[in-house]
Amino acid sequence: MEVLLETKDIKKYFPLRKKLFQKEPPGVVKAVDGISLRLYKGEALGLIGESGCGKSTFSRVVMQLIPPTQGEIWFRGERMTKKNLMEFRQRVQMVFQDPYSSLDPRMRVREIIEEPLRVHTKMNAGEKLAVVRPILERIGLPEEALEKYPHEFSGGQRQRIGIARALATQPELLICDEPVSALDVSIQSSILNLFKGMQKELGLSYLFISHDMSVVKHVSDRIAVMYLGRVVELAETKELFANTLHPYSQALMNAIPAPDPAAPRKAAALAGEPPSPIDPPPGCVFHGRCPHAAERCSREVPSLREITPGHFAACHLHAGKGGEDL
Amino acid sequence: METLLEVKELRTCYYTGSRVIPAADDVSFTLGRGEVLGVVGESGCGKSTVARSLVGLIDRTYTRIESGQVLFGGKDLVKATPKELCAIRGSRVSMIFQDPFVSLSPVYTVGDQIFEVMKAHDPGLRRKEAQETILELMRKVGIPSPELRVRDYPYQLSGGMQQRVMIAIALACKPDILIADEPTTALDVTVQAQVLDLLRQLKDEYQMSILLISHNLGVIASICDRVMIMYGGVVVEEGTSIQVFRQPAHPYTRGLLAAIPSITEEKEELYSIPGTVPVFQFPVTRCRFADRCERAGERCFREEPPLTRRPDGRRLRCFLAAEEGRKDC
Repeated sequence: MEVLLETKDIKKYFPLRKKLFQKEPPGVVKAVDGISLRLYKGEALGLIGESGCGKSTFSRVVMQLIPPTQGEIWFRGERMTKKNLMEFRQRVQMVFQDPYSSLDPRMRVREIIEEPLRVHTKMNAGEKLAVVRPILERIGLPEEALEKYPHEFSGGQRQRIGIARALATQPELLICDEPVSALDVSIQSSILNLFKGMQKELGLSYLFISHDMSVVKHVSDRIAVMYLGRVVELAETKELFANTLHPYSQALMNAIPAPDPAAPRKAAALAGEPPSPIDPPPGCVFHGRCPHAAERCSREVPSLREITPGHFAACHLHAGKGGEDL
Repeated sequence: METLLEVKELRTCYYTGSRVIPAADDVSFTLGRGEVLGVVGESGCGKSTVARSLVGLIDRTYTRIESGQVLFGGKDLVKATPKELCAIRGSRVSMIFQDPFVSLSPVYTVGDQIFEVMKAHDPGLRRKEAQETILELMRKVGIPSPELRVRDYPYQLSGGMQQRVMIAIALACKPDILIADEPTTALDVTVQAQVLDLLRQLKDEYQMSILLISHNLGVIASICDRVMIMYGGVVVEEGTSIQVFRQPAHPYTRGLLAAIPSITEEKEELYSIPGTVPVFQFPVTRCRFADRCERAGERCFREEPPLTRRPDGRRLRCFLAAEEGRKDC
C-alpha cells in the first residue's frame, strides 16, 4: 500500500513563561512527545484520546499550522518544508470542530467554498463555480445555498459547508479535528455517513480525530490511541477491539456507557486523572493509573512495538512478545 | 414506591418579540423516592427548561410558567413565593450543572463554597463547626486529601474534581431530589465513568431521587430506572429503561437509537433522522415530529397526538405507534 503521509518522531513542546522572581528555568509542556505514524492512501486513520493528550496539537503540526519542535513530515515520499507548503496545503485540507466559529459570518457560502481556490489557483469566476457546484451536490446542499450566509444554516448544514470548503482543492487527505462533537446525534450520524461515502467515492484519506470511541470506530480503518502526547496503541479497528493490548485502551473502552440498560457493568472505572504534561511522570506515562504497573514501568519508557503483525502497543506488559519497534 | 415529586401539565413559554415559544408543553411525570429518571433529547427540545422550571430557576423577564403544577412535599412549587423556593432550593432539591468551572465562583475556596450552602439554610452555623462536615462531604464524593483541597480555588482543580465539588455542594443539605443537568458532558469518558459511579453510590446511600438530563443515551442507559424522551418541548415517550431502549415505540426514539454508532456491533450506514429540530410557536396543532417522521400520515399534520398510557405501562405520544400497540395487545 502506498504511504500517503508519514510523520517521523514529531515532538511539540510549548515553553512556559518564566514567572517573576522565579530562579530556575521554566519548564515545557510536552504536548506531543515523539509520534511516528504512517497513513496509507485511501485509509481512515482514527486518533483517539482524552482532552489534553495532544490530539489537536498533533493535527496542527501535521497541517503545518505550527512548527514542530522536532521531527519530520513526509507526504507522498517528499519531506515537507516551507518551500512546498502551498502545494501541501492543496493536497491536505482540514475540517474543524466548531461549525459556528470556523465559517466567516460575513462571507456568502459561495465565497467560503471558493476561498481555497482563490488562494491556490488562478481560476476565474466561472471556472470556480464549475468546481463548487458538483461539490455542493455531493455534500447534500441545494444550489440556492450558494448565495446565503452561514447564519441561515443549522449546525449540521454548516459542518457540510466546512467540508465542502475542504474539498474545493480536491485534496487527497482530510484532517478532521473532532468534526462531529458539536453536533446532535441525529445530525452527527448523517455527517458520519457523508465521510464514509466520500472515502469510497472520492478515494479520500482521513486523519480522524475524536474523543468519542464509537465515532472513531465507525469511521476508521485503523485507530491510534493517544495518551499524554504519545501513541500507546495502534491497530486495525477490528483487531483493536477484539484484542486490546494496552491497559489504557482497555480502560477507555470499559468507560464508555453502552446504550443498553441491561448491559453488564464493566470493571471499575480508571482511578485518577491524566497527569500534567508539564512534568510527566518518568517511565511509562500511564503507570500512575495503570492497574498492572510494575516497578519497571516507573523507570523505563516503553517504545511502540509491533506485538502481532500490524498491532502496535507501547507497554512493558507485552515486552518480549513480537518484533521490532515502529 | 413513594412519589416524591409530581409534575402535572407543565407549560413554560419563552417570549421573544412577537413570538411565544412553548419550550416545555404539557409535561407530566412523577419521580419516586430513590428513583433515577432520565430525560433525553437533542439540544433545544426543552430538557433544561423543564428542570429549571421545577425549582423556579428561570428568567422571568422572558420566560413564564403558563400553567401546570409541580407538587412537592404537599406544595405547588409553581405558586410558591421566591422566598419559599429559596428555602427548598439547595436544601431539599439541589441542582448540578453541565460546566463546573463556570458554575463555581473563582474567588472563593472550595470549602467556603460548600459552607455557603450550609449557612444559607442554617444561618447560625459557624465555619469552624462546619469544617468537619465539609471534609466528610468531600471525602464522600471522592476528593483525595480533602484537608488540603478544602483551601483550593476552583482553578486549581481538574474538571472531574470540580464536578465532584459541585456534587458536594448539592449534597451539603442532604436533598431529597438531585437535578443533574448534563453532569458529565464536559468531562472525559474515564472521568465520566467515575462521576456516574459516584452518583449511583450516593443514590443507594441516601435514597436520593435523581432527575438526570443528558443527550448521551449511553449515560442514561447505564444509570436510569425510567427514561423520558422529549422532542420539541413535549414528552414523546416514557417508560422503564428496558422498555425504551429494548423496544422503542416512538419513531423519534427509534431514530435516535439507530443514529448512534455502536461499539459492539458493525453498522455500515448509520440511520439519520432527516431535517433538523424546528422551533414551534404557540399553539401547536400537529405532531411536532411529523416533518421528520418517515411514517407520518395526514392526521399527524392536523392534530397533536395526546400522551396516552399503553397497557404495558409506558406513555407514548404518537398516533401510528398507538395503533400498532393496540394490534399487539
